[in-house]
Amino acid sequence: MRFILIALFSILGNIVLAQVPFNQVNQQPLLMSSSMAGAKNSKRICLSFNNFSGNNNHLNIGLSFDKMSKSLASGIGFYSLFSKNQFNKMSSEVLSNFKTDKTYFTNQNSIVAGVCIAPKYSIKSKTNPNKNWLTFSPSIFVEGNVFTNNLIANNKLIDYNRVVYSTQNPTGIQQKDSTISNYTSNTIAEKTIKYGLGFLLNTDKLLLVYKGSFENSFINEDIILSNYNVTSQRFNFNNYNQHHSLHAIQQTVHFGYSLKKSEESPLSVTPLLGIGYKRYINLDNSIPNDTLIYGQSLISKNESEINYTHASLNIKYAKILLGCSYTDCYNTSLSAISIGYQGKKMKTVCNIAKTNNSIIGFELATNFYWN
Amino acid sequence: MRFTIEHIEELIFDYHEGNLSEAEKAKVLNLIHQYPEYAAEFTLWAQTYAHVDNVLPDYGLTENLIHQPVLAVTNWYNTTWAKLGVLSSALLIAVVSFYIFGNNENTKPTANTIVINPVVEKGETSAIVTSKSNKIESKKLVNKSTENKIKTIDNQIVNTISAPLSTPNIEQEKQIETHHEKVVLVPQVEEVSKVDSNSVSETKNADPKAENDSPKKNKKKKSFNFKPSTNFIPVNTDF
Amino acid sequence: MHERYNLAVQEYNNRVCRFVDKLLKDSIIAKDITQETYLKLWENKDKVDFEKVRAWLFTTAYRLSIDHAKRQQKYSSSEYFPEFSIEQENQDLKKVVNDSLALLSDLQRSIVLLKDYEGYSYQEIGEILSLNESQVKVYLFRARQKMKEYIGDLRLVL
Repeated sequence: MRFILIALFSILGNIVLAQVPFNQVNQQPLLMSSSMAGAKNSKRICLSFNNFSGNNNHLNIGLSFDKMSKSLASGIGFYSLFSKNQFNKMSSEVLSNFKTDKTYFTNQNSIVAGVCIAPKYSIKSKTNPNKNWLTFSPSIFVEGNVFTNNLIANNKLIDYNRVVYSTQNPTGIQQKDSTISNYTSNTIAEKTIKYGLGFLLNTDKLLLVYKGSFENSFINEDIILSNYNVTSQRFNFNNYNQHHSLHAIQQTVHFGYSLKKSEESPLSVTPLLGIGYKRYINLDNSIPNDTLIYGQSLISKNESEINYTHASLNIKYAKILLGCSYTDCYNTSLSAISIGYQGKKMKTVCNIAKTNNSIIGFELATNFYWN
Repeated sequence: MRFTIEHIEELIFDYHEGNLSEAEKAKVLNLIHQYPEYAAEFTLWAQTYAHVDNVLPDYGLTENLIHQPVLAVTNWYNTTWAKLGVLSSALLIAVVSFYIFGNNENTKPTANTIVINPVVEKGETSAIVTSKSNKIESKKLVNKSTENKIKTIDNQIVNTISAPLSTPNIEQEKQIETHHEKVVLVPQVEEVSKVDSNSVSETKNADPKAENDSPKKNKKKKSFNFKPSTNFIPVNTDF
Repeated sequence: MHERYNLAVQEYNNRVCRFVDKLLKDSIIAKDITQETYLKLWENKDKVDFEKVRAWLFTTAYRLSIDHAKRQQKYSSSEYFPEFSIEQENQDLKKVVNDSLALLSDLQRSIVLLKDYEGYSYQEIGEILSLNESQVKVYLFRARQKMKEYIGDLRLVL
C-alpha cells in the first residue's frame, strides 16, 4: 500500500495545492486585517472576483461588509471567500518501478467566513489637541474554513517488482496479476477554525496593519483503490482512512504610505508591502507512521516559512488609478498590472495577472461606500 | 475400523490427524513395527505437517482496519466548541468592559460650557468671587480624589474676562459662595467642543492670582484616550 | 459495536491474511482480500454474530479468494511457483512442503490450511467451505497423499 501512495504522491505533486489569491489585497481589507473594519468611517461593501483558466482553473470570489458602529465606537465586519481550483493534467511518467499512463483530475473547493470587531482609538496631536495624530485599532476575529480536495485518477499502476525468476526464465517474467490499481479516489476534507488579533496604525498617509491568527485544522482523508475487470466492472475495493489535526500560527503585516506633493495635488503614489509568516506547531506529531497522501505532503512541509509576500505600487491621478503588483502566496506567484476608477462612493480596479505557470488571469475588485 | 495393512494409509492418516485413541495409536505402531517397509511412509505422512509456521506474521493491516468511532479528542478544552465558547466569552467581557470602564461618571464631559476658572464637582467647594474692586478671585478647595476639569479658553476671552474691571466705586467684596457656578458668555465666546475624559489640555487661564491660588498646578494633559471613539482618522482613500 | 469489530480485527486479521496468502501465494492480493473481508464485516456488523466471527471471516475470505482466482484465471500452479533447482542441496523441508501445497486444488489447500494453521475441526471446516464432515476428511486425505508423494518423489531424486 505504501508504495502505491508514494507513487501517487510523486505523480501528483504536493496535494496541498496552491491557491490563487486576490492581487488587489487592499480591495479586500478584511482579509488583510480585521482591524480594517470600519476604518473608512462609512459603510462599505467589497466584491472581488478573479479567474485563471488554462490547464488548471482557479476561481476566487470574495465578499465583505464592514461599518463603523457609533454605539460601540468600533468597526464591525463580516467577510467570506469562495475558492475553486481544478487541476487536470495528462502525462506519462516513468517513476522507478511504476509506469503510468493516466488522466487525473483534482477538484478543490474552499469556503471561508469570518467576523470581526475593531474598536478605534486616537492619539491626539500635541500641538493641536483637537486634531488626531494617530489612530490605533486593535481587533479580534473568528474565521471558519471548509476545504475539500477530491482527486480522481484513472491510472494503471503496475508493480514491476513482481517478476518471477526460474531456471527456464532466468531474466524473469512479469507476473500476470501485477496490476495494483486502475482507479484511485482520494478525498481530503479539512475544517479549519481561526481566531486571532489584528492591529492597525494609521495616520493621514501611513497605513500599518497586522493580522495574527491561531489556526486549528482537522483533516480527514479517504482513499479508495479499485481494479477494473475486463467487463469494466470495478471490484476489489480497498478503503483507507486517516485523520490529522494541524495547529499553526499565521502572521501577516502590510505597510503602505501615500505620497502626495500637496493636499491639492491630484497625483498620489501609494506603495504597499506585505509579508506573511506561518509556523506549524508540533508538525511532526501530526504525521503518523504509515501516512496516506496528505500525510506524505506534511513530511515535506517546512515547520515555519514565509508563505506570503506582496509588493504593489498604485498611482492615482484625479479619479484614475494605475498600478502594478507582485504577490507570492502558497507557492503561486502573480504579477499584475491594474487600471481603475475611484470616486466618492465607489472604487473599482481591474487586473490582468500572470502566474508563475504562465497562466493569464483576470481580476475585478469593487468597493462601494455610503453612510 | 480395521487395523490391517490394507488400510495402513488411512490408519497412518488418522494417527497423525489425532483421530485415534491411545490404544488405537498403539495398534498402528505395532502394525508399522510388523511391516518396517511402511516406516518411511509413516515418516512421510508426518512430514506433510512440516509446513506449519507457528509464528504468526504481521501483515501490518491492523492499524488500517481499526475503526475509531470519533476523532480522538481526549481533552474537553481541545474541542472546537470549548474554544468557541472561550472566545465568545472573551468578546462579551471585552464589550462589557468597554461600557463599564469607559463610562466613568467622573470623566463625563460637560457640553458646550466655558468656565472662567477651574470648576470642581461633587462636594468640592469652589469660590468665585466677583468683586467690585475689579478683581476676580477664586478660591478653590480641591478634593484630591477628583480631577480638575479645565476647559480650554480662548486667550482673548480670558484676557478680556480676567482684566481688572474698573469700577472705582466698589467698596465691598461679595461673600464667597459655595456653589458650582459656571459662567457662560454666550454671545462673545466660542463654544467649546466636547472633551473626553482624561483629555485635558493645559489651562490658558492668564489670571496669575487665580493660578497661584489653585492648590494644584495644571498637570500635563494625557493625549491618549482609553475609551474607543468615533473620532478617529479614517484610512487614506488611496488604500 | 466498534469494540467488537476492533477486537475481531486485532485477533484475526493476520490469521485471515496468512490463510489467503498461503491459499493464493500472493501476499499483496492477500492483504487486499483481507481488507475487503473486513470491509464487508464492517458493512454487515449489525447482522453478523460476533461469537462466530472467526468462521465468518474465513468463510468470506475464502469466497473472495476463489472469486479472485477465477476472475484472474490464476489457478495454474506451475506458472507461479518457481521450479526447484535440482542442483540445490540441503533442501529445507518446510519450504518443500510449502511448495507441495501448490499442487493441491484450491479446496484441498484451503482445508489443509484451516486444519493445520487454524486448528479447525472437520465440522467447522465443513461449515466454512460448505461441505459435510466426511467430504472434508476425504479431501484432506487426498491432499496429504499428494503432498506426501511430492515430498517422497523429491527425496528420491535427491
